[in-house]
Amino acid sequence: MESRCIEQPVSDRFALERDLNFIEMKKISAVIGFFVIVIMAFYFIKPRMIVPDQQVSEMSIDRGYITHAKKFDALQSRTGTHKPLGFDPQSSDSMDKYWNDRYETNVTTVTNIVKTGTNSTRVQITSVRKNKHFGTDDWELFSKIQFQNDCALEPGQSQILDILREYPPARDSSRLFTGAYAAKFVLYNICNEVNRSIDAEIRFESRVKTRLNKVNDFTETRIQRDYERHQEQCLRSWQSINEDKEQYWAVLKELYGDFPKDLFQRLMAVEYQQIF
Amino acid sequence: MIKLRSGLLVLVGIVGLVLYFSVRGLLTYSKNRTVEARSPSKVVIQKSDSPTNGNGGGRQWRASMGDIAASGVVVNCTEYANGQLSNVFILSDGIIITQSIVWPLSPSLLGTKEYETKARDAFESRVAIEPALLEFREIISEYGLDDAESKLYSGIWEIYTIRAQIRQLKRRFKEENILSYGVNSARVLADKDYEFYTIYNKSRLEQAVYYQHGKTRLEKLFGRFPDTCFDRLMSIPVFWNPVVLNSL
Repeated sequence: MESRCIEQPVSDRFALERDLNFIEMKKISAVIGFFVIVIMAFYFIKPRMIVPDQQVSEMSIDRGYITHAKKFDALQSRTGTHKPLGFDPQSSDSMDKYWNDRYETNVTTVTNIVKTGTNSTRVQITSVRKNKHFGTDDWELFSKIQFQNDCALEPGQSQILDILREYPPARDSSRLFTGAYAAKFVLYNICNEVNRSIDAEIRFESRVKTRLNKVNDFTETRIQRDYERHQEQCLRSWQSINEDKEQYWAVLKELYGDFPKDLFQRLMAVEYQQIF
Repeated sequence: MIKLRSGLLVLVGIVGLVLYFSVRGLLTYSKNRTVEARSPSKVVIQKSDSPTNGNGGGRQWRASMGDIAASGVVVNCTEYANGQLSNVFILSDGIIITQSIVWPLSPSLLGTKEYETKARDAFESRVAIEPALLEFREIISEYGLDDAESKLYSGIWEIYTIRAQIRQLKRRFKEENILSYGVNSARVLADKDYEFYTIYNKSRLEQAVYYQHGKTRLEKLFGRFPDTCFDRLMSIPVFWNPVVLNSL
């Protein structure tokens, strides 16, 4: 009987302790679970913020530009004299629309009369449509966003910005990215022209080879004519590249007051994957 | 018991944080590594100022695409005294290519009066169809290099040769003959069988070889050759191949 009396409180104590342990275990599990959830949440959310993919990077690459855009909008609404921002920096559709809508409706016709070294004259008529956004704050912001997005995909393009920044008026200018973004197009055009001339060279060589396979009285004359034509084509390519460079140099001078020739030539030597 | 529990909690917290940061760091590293490997921005030349006398008196140097550890794309170049260049390209996916090129201009004549005379004659006969030569002359003249007057046309012809080599490289790039150029077993390699980036990286490294070798020759000719001057000259495209002065 006595032994039962003694055993009873002991078993109760054990049961109580078990219950307490169970509650304690639940608490620990809850805390560990909380930690696991927090870690998982950071694991899935944080890396995407740090390493954005192409779509996300368009909007997150430069945190400053949204602030810039807001400041710009605030400034416009305060003065009430300027137009609102021409596009929504957070919407790619809006930016595409702004890009597609950049040309003026007026078309300027330019006539070039070119005298080549082989006593022939060529008349070239081209139509030019100006970018109506160029030189505006909107275009600077647009250029900045596009340039930085492109740089994220191909870091080699940042060389353009590095060279422009070597010239203090460009570095301090509010049109730095306008000049940098324009450089991409000039370099692309030059690369295209060089590629076209290489294609022409390949065609010329294959034509000469074909003619040499069918030798007759006119073979030499025809090869000579092909050679002269190719020569003219090379000079045209040279001229076209120079025109592009001159136009861009004029743009830089307009944007930054002046732009040194040595820096300009170094800028034109920039190479990256898209323009190799 | 309470101490043990709180210790356990702290331990779990620390392990969690360590795990979180290591996974995050790993993700960032792997992403950056991919970016570097896919689009390395610049060719980095290494050991260019430390010529070695290994391999029969050749001058050795190495160039890599961007960060060598990240991209793993490298060329080891040996320049021999006779103007021959031996390149070992180590590309992605374990591709190793050994290439042998002979520079079109002989090193023995460089800097001589004979070479200058030949270069001047070649300049005058070519300038009508290759206006880039005038720009080369203008830029070199601006820098006031040592003996610039007596070596001007030799310098112009050196630049012309480098630019023409780059043009030929770009042509091979278009014709998909990058991997087979200068390689003995040409039939084994075909550009179309490889990824674009393998071919592109090899092209950029080959371009670095031409730049570096060409610049070494210019430094030998003028004593020094400023990088800015070289960069400016490299912005000017040419359309023809220079005459090999040794054969004139």
